[in-house]
This record gives sequence, structure tokens and C-alpha cells, in this order.
Amino acid sequence: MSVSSAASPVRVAIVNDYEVVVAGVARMLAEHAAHVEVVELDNGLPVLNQVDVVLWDTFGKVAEDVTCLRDLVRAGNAKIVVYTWNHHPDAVDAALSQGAAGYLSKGLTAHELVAALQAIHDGETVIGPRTSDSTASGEVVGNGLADWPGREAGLTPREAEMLAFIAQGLSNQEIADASFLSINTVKTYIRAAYSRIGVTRRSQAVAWAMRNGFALEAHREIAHRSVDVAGRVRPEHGTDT
Amino acid sequence: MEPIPETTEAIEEFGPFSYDGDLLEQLTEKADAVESVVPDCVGLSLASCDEGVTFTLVASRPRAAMLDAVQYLDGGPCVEAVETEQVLSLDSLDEGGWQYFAQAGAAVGVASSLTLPIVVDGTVTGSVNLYAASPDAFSGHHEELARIFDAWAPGAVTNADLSFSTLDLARRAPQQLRDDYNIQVAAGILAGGRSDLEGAVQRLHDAATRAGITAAQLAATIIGLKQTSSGE
Repeated sequence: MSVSSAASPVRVAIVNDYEVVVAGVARMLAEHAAHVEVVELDNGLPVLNQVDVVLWDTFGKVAEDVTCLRDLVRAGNAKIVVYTWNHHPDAVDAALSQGAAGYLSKGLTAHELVAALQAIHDGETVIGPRTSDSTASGEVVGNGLADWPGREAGLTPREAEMLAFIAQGLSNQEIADASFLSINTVKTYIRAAYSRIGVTRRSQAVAWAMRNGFALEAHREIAHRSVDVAGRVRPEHGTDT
Repeated sequence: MEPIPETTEAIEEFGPFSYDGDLLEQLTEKADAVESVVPDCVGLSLASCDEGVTFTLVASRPRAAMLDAVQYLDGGPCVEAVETEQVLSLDSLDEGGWQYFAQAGAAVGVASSLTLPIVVDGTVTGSVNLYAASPDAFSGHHEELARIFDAWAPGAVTNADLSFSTLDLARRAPQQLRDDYNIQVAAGILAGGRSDLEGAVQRLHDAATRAGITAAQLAATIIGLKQTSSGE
């Protein structure tokens, strides 16, 4: 799959509950502005503007959120693309059954991601592709380009996601269901995360998470030439919280 | 010995409680070690001050069920305590109450108990309670049993819990952990990314008190509202 010189860039909204995650994806795509225009960044809020593709990052998302994919788009017929580290077959099937037009790996390079978004915009359904960074269980190790809360503390993406789920109040079985992992694997990740951040119990983990970027605060950033929530056209980048 | 269902649930759902390995496996290994010293041991409870909960293993589940059933025969002090949500103290039981408990314990074969404090850097961080089917089963074994749990043998107390009261504490563990967890998560929602979590916890407790509900109930409501608004 290669990047095509399309007449106009694909208009993309990036969605996740964590601002650092959304910002990380936006930074990655910024170098390819000729092919992909990041119109809107939403954490915790629905997409407002007319976009071609909603890039829905699954970090910290529970399984039930998959059923809300369509609810993210208030107007227009944007294609919804899941962007994730988790390529478990059940997760892929769940997303596609909810109408996702693509299921893309966070192991993709920025160039590969752009090519995939263009293909999806042109009508293809793109899944994966699975990269050499994937583990046998379908978990992607990462391409070094994505960002996540707790990264500076040395947390891996999975460990950070476990903390995100803990900060949301999920039990271990609920986390296992959300992430398509066994409960023993969940506990192993949690144990590793606790060790990295120096806590020994769940209440301490919640407190640490809330102080270190895991608090959920709704935020929307809209690119220039877009319409804000009040219907005003903003000449510069605007924010809405 | 094997963990009671509530202990398994507490550790599975809200663990891990140990950096190095699975706590359920570790407890089972320690129980096996205890039984090798005191074959007559029928119960083991580990109480953690940090977590504020108790985990219990019993020789067989029918023993635990029998003790539970005895408590509900014709009321009695234990039933009264549960129904009025009061904590029984030593002073609150008259001779008849103590005899009832002793008989209840005896009904499931608890004839002796041993309590060992766990001390770390001079601070009591927890305790171990062991229960045996014969009198004086732990006599002469305090040091050896203390080593199994890194407990403090000089602080051993015998026959302080012939009623196996720690079993009831262990049964409450899953709900207690869930309540404590919910309170912290709800405080995080109230604090909204600011660092004053302790203040948020206090606000939550104050609001619950004024409303006449528990902090845990209010926390569950806050979390539910947050989940609902996130899905809109």
C-alpha cells in the first residue's frame, strides 16, 4: 500500500479520551499534511465537523465503547477507523460488526498509516496489516511514534492501559473483557505497572494515575477553517473545553 | 486448605496484592507449610493493615458452611451483630455469648487458635490467625509457624478467636475492596485532574454524610454518572 497523490487531503478527526494520546497521533500525521489534514482532535467529546475519517484510538476503551463508534459522528458520513495495539480476532470482529471501515495497527509507520487512511477514504476496508512488531497473541509492540499517559514513568502501552482501566474503576475481570486478555495476564501487567510507579495497591494506583495524566477531561481542538460549537468559523486553531 | 470463595474473588478481582507472584498461590503454599507443622490445622486467616481486609483459607468448605449455618440458628450474638451492623467487642458479650461462640467454633472443630502479628520495621502491618481442631495444637510450634509468615513469635496469642471470627471478615473482603476502590475513583472524578485527591475524598464523605448515605453509595453513583456521560 503506498501513499497516493490525491487531489485533496483526507480530512481526519482523531478521537480518544486521553489528550496525550490524541496529541501524539496528531503529531505523527503532521508531517503528512499534504495527504492527511487533521481537522479535529477530541478527547471525551463527539466529533463536530465534517470529516472524511474518524481515527478512533482504542487506548483505555472498554468493549462496550465499541458499540458507540457510530455515536461519535454527529453529522456527515465519516468512515470510522479503529487505531489500536490490540489485534485480537474478537476485537477486530467486534469493531467491524459495528461498522468500522478499518482496523489499523499502532505498529504502522506514519507513511503506512497515511496510505491506509487514503485507501479507506477511497472505499477499501483495511485491516491491520499485522506488522513484525506484533506478538503471537496479536498485541502490537509499538512503533515508537505513538504516545500514552505514563510513558515518562517507563510504563509500556499495555501497562499504561491497565492503569487507565483501573482509574476508570474496572475490576480485573472487566479489564480482561475490555482488553481481550486473560485475567492472569491482566494481573501480570498490573503487577509490572505497580512496580514501575512504586505502588502496592489499587487505591494508590488510582491516586497516581489521576496525578499523572490519566484523569479524563473533555477537550476539543478544531483546525482553522472549521466551525466551532457555536457555529463560528475560526481563522486560527481554536480550543473548546 | 483452600481459599474461601470470597478470598478468591477479592484477590482475582482487585489484586495483585504481591509484587512477586500470585497471592492465592502464596497463601496456599503457606497453608501447606502450616499443615506440615500442625496437621490438625483447619483454618488460616491473613489480615492486612494496608489493605484493611482479611483473606481466609479453610480445610474444607463444608467446615465454613457449618460455621455459617450455626450462626443463624436461633439468632445469637453474631446474628445480632450482622443485622445491626455493629462490631462485637470483647466487653459486649456476656458469658452466654462467649459460650455460644465457643460452641459454634467447636461445631466446626475449632478447639484452639493462634494469633501472630506481622511486624515490619517496628510496625504491625498485619496478622495471621490459625485454627486447629484439637486443643493446644499450636503449643511448641510458635516459632516455626511464625517463620512461615515472617511473623513475630513473641507476640503470639493463643485461643483469642475460638469463634473463627476472621471468617466473617474475609467474607466481607470483596465488597470492602470494591467500596474503597470506588471511593478513590470517584474522588479522582471529583478532583478532575487536580492534585487534591485527599480533599476530594473528604468532600465525598461530607456530602454522603449530609445526604444520609454511605460514601461508597455516593461514589458508585458518581462513577455511574461519569460512565453514562462518557457514552453519550
